[in-house]
Amino acid sequence: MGVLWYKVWSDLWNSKTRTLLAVLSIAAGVFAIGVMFGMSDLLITNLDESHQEVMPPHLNVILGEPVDLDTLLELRHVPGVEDVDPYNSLSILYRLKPQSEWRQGLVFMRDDFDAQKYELVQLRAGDWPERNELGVERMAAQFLGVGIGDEITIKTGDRERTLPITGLIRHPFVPPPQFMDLAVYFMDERGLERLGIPPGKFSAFYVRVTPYSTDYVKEVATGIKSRLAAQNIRVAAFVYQDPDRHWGRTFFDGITLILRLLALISVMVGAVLVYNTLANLITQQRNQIGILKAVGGRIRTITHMYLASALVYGILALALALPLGSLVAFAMTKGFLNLFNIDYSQFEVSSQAIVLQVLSALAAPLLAALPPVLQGARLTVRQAIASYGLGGNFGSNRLDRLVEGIGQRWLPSHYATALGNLFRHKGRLFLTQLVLIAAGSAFLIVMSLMSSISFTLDNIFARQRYDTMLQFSQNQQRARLDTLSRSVDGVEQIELRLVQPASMYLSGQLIKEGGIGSNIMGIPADSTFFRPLMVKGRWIETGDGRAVVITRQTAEREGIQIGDRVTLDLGELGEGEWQVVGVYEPVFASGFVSETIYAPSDSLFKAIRRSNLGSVLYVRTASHTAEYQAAVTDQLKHLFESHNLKVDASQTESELRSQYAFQFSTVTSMLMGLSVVVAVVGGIALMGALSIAVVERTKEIGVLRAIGARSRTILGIFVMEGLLQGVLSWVVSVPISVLASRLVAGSLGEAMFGATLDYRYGWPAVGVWLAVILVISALASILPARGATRISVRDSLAYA
Amino acid sequence: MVTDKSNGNGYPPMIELKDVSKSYWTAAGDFLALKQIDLEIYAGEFVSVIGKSGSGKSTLLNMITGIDRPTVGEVWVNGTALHELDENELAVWRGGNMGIIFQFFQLLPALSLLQNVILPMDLAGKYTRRERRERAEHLLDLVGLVEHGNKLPSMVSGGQQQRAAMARAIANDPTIVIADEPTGNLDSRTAETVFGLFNDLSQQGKTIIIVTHDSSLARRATRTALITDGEIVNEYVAKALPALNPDQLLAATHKVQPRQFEPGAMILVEGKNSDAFYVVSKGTVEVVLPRPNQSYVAVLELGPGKYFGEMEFFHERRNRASIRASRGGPVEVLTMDYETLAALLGESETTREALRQAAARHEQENVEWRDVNE
Repeated sequence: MGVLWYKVWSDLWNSKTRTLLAVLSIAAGVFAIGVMFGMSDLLITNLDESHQEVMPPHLNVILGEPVDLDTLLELRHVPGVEDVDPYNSLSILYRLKPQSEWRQGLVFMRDDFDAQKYELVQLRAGDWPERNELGVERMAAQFLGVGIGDEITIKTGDRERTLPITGLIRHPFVPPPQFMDLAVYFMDERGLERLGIPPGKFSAFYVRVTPYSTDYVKEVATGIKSRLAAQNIRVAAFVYQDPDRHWGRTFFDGITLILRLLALISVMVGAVLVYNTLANLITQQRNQIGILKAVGGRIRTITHMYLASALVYGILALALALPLGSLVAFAMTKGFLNLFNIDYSQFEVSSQAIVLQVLSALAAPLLAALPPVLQGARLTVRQAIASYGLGGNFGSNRLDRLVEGIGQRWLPSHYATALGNLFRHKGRLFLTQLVLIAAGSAFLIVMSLMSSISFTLDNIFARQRYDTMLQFSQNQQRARLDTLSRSVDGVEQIELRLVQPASMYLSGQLIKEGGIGSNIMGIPADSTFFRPLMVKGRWIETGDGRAVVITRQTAEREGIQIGDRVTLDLGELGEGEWQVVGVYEPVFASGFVSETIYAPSDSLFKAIRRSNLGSVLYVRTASHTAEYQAAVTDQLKHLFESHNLKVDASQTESELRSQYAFQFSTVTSMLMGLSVVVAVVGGIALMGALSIAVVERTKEIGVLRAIGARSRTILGIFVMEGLLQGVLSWVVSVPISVLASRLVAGSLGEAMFGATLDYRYGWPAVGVWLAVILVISALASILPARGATRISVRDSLAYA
Repeated sequence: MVTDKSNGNGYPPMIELKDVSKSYWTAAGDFLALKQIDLEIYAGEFVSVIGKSGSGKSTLLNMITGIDRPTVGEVWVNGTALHELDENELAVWRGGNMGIIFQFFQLLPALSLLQNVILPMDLAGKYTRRERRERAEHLLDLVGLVEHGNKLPSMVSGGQQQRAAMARAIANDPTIVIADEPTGNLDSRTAETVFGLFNDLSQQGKTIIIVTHDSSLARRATRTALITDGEIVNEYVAKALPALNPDQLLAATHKVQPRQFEPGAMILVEGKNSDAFYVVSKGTVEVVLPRPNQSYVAVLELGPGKYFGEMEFFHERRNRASIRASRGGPVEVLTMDYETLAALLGESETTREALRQAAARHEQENVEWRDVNE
C-alpha cells in the first residue's frame, strides 16, 4: 500500500478542521461513556464497600420511649437476632456563637464508642467525646466551619450547655448538610445525662439478623415488636437496611441507568458525525477514487485506506477521551461519595469503563464509516470521474415535483434552488435530520419534564395549603397551641394533627410496609390545609366513622380495594378496624419516607379515647413569601420553646419546595447538558452535510457565478438550505416530543423519585427551540456557505 | 451496422469492439450514446478518435478502458473480454495492462509527482520497493520532470502535470495507452510537447488511442476514427471525401456497400456502363490500360481511402479505364451509387468541386498514359 498510507496521513493532516471535528465528536461520546460508566461502576463499588465496612444493621429499631439496657439485651433471645447494639439520638438546638440563630441538630450517643458492634461511627480526628465534650460529624464540621477546640452551645428543653469539640467523627448514615440543615453531634452517656437522658436508657437499637433475608428480617422485627409490646414498650418505627447495598443505591441506580443510556446515545450521535465526515471525504475524493481504480486500485485497497482514516479518528479520540473520562469519572465519584460522607481519595479507574471506551472509540467510527466507504469503494470509475453538480435526476418523483412547485410559487429562484437542493440527497437529508430531530426532541422532552416537575410541585403545594409546619417532640393540646399561635403576628390559621405510628393488618396478616413504616395521621374532615390527589374512592368526609385513606402503593402492593377493612395497631393506643374509603397518590413514595394513612381526626380521637391533641402543627400565614414564612416560623419556635413546648423540627413551604426542586434539578441539569451536547453535534452534522453539498455543487456554483450571482446570493442559497434543515427538524421534533415526553416524564419520575409527575408539555419551549435551531443552523451554514462564495468560475467549471 | 476495419497484417486485432451499443437513462428518457459500433485496432497502431462534443468519443474510450460497460456487445482487449469482468477485476486488469491519461491530469493532489508515478506500481505489486522508486525517477526523467519529482501537483504547471500523468500511465509498462483529450487543457506549445511523447511511445511499439477534438493533432496519428452521433464514420469514406461534414460522412457511411474482390479480379472494365462511385477500403486496386497485345498494364495503384468512378460521374456514364484488384491480396471496395453521390454532392459544393477537379485531372492523366503506352 506504500504511497497510499502516505495519502491517508496526508488527508488527515491537510484537513485539520475536518479531522479535529471528527475526533472531537467521537471523543465526546467516548468521554461520556468513560464518565457515566466509570462513575457508576466506581460509585456503586465504593458505596457498597464503604457500607459493608461499617457493619450495617439489618434493622434499626426506634422506640417510643427510652428503655433500659438489660431489656434490650434480652432481645438477643428473639429467634433470628444475632445481636443488638443500643444507642440514643436526641433532637437539639445548637448555635455556634452567642448571637447566632438556634439551628436544628441531633446528638448521637453510643454506650461505648470503642466497643461498637453495628453502624460503626469512625473517629477521624481528635478523641471520642467524654462527659462534657462533644464530637461533631465531620461533614457538618466542614459545612459549619468548625473544628477541634471550637465550642458549640446546645440546648434541649430548658437545658443549655456550651461544650468543646474534641473529635471529628464520621457517621455513615447522615443526610448531606447541603440537603438538610441538621448537624450531627456525638456525646457519651455521661454527657447525655447532663441533657436529661438517664444513663443506661436507650431510645433505639441496631439489630442484625441470622440468617439474613428481606422477608426474615421482617419476621424478626415482628418478633421484637411483640416481645417489647408484652412489656408495654412501643416501637415507633423500624428502618430496614440491606447489608450489602448502600442506602443511596436506589437513587443512583435510577439515575445511572438514564445517564448510561444518554452516554450511549452520545456515542451514536458521534458515530453519525463520523459517517457524515467520511461521506464528505468520499464525496470530495470521488475523483481520486476513480483514478485509483483506473490505475489498478481494488475495492479492498480503497476500503482499507478510508477505514484507516476512521481508525485514526478513533485512536486520537481515545487518546483524548480516555484519560479525561477517567479523571472526570474519578472526580464525580469522589464528589458523590463525599456527599454520602465516604472518603475517597485514591485515584482509580474502572476497567469496565476502559474496555467500553476502547470498544466505542474504535468500533463506533469503523462501523459508522463502513457504509460510505463501501459505497465509495464500489463506485465505478465512470461514476467517480463523471461530472456532477449539474443535471442529475432531481424532479423524477412526486415529492421532488411538489418541492419544486412550492419553491417556484413562494420563493425567489435562488432560494427555490436551496429548497430543491435540500431534497436532492434524501439519504443524507435523513441522517442530518436524524441528529437535529434527536437534539430538538431531547430539548423539548427535557423542557417538558421540567415543566411537568414545576406543574407537579404547583399541584402538590396547591393541595398542601400551609405556609409552615412545626413538629413537637410530644403531643400538645390544641387549645394551648391555638392561644399561643394567635399571639404571633402573621398567623392566620392553624391545624394540629395527631400522628401515630401504625401497623396495618389485612385479614390478620401484617402488611409489607414500604419506606420506613406507616403512620396514621388524623386530619379534620373539613380541613382546608390539605387535600391529596385521589386515585380511587374519596377523601374523608364529615360524618365518617373509622374511615381511612391509604397510599396507592400500599393499595396496589396488598391488593386493597375501596370498602376493604383493615386493622390498624396503634401500639399502646390500641388497635381497631377501619374501612378504606379512598386511595391517594403520595408526593414521593420511595426511599426513607414513612407512608401516611389519613383518618378523620375525630374518629382517631375516639379510637384512642383522647381528643384535641397532636404533634404536628400546620400554620397559614398572612403573606406567603419565603422570608415571611421563615420569620413567622422563628417567632413561633421561640414562643413555644419559651413555654417549654419542645419543637423537634420545622419547615416552611418554601423550604420544602426548594428541597424538592433541588432534588430534581441535579438530574434535569444533566439531561439539559446532554441535550445541549446533542444540539451542538447536530450543528456539526449539519455543517458537514452542507460542506458536502458545496463540494458536490461546485460546477453549479460556477455557473451561477458566470450568469451574475453575487457572493451574497451564493451565501444565501447555502444559509437558506441550512435554515430549512433546521426548520424541517423543528417541525418533526415537536410532534415526536409531544408523543414521547409524557412517557419520559412518567418513567423518569417513577424511576428516580418514586413520584408520578403531573404531566404538562412545555409549549413555550417550542418557540425557544425554533430560535435555538435557527441560530445553530445559521452558524453551521456560515462556514460552508463562505467556502462556496470563494469558489471561482474558472476553478469550478474546470473541476473534474 | 457500421464497420471500420484495418489490416493488421494477418495478426488478430489488439482491441476489438463487436456490435457495441451504450445507452444511458436520463430523466428525459433513454439516450443512445453508441450505436452498434464495430472497431478493430491492431497492435502498435496510433489511433486518434475525433468527433464533435457529445458525439460519443469519451464513451467509446470508456468502453475500451473498461471504465464503462456496453449495454449490448462485446469488448475484447488483448484477448480479455472486458465486458465479462467485474469492477474489481477490471481495476486489476487495467493496472497491469493499460495506462490511462485524462484531460484534467487527475493526479492525486496529496502525493508528489514521484509518488503519483509510484502509485500504479504499488497497486499492482509490480517491482520491489526500490525498483519502483528507481523506475519512477527514470520515467519522470523520460518526460523531463525528474527535478520536480518531490513537488505536489499544485506546484507545477498543467503541462508538467500532464507529463507526470503520462509517466504514471506507463509505470507498469502497459502495452496499451489510452488518452482522453490529453492536450485539451494545454496551450499549443505544451500540447506539441505532449504529443511528441505520444509519438515516442508509439515508436516503442505501444498501441496508442487518443481522443481529441483537434483535427490537426488527430491527423498526426497513423489512423483516425471519426465518431458522429455515436457511430463511427467509415475512415476511408472520410479520407476519400474529406470536405463532407460529419453528418454527411455518416450518411455516406450508411449508404456505401462493401464489395470484396479476389486478387486480380476485374472490378471495372473499360467501356462498360458505370453506375457507382468506389472507395478502396482494403487492399489495393490497379488502374490498368490495355496494351496492343491485349494485355493490361497497371498505371496506377490505389490504396485504402482512394477512390475511382468520379470521372464517369461527371462525364458520360461509361468506364474510362479498367480497374482490377491487385494480385497482392483480396480487395474490398465501398460502392456508392451515383444517385446517392449526386445527393451528397448537392449538399456540399466543396466536395463537388474537389471531385470535379479530381475527375478532370484523372481524365488528363488517362489521356497521357494512353499516349505513352501506345
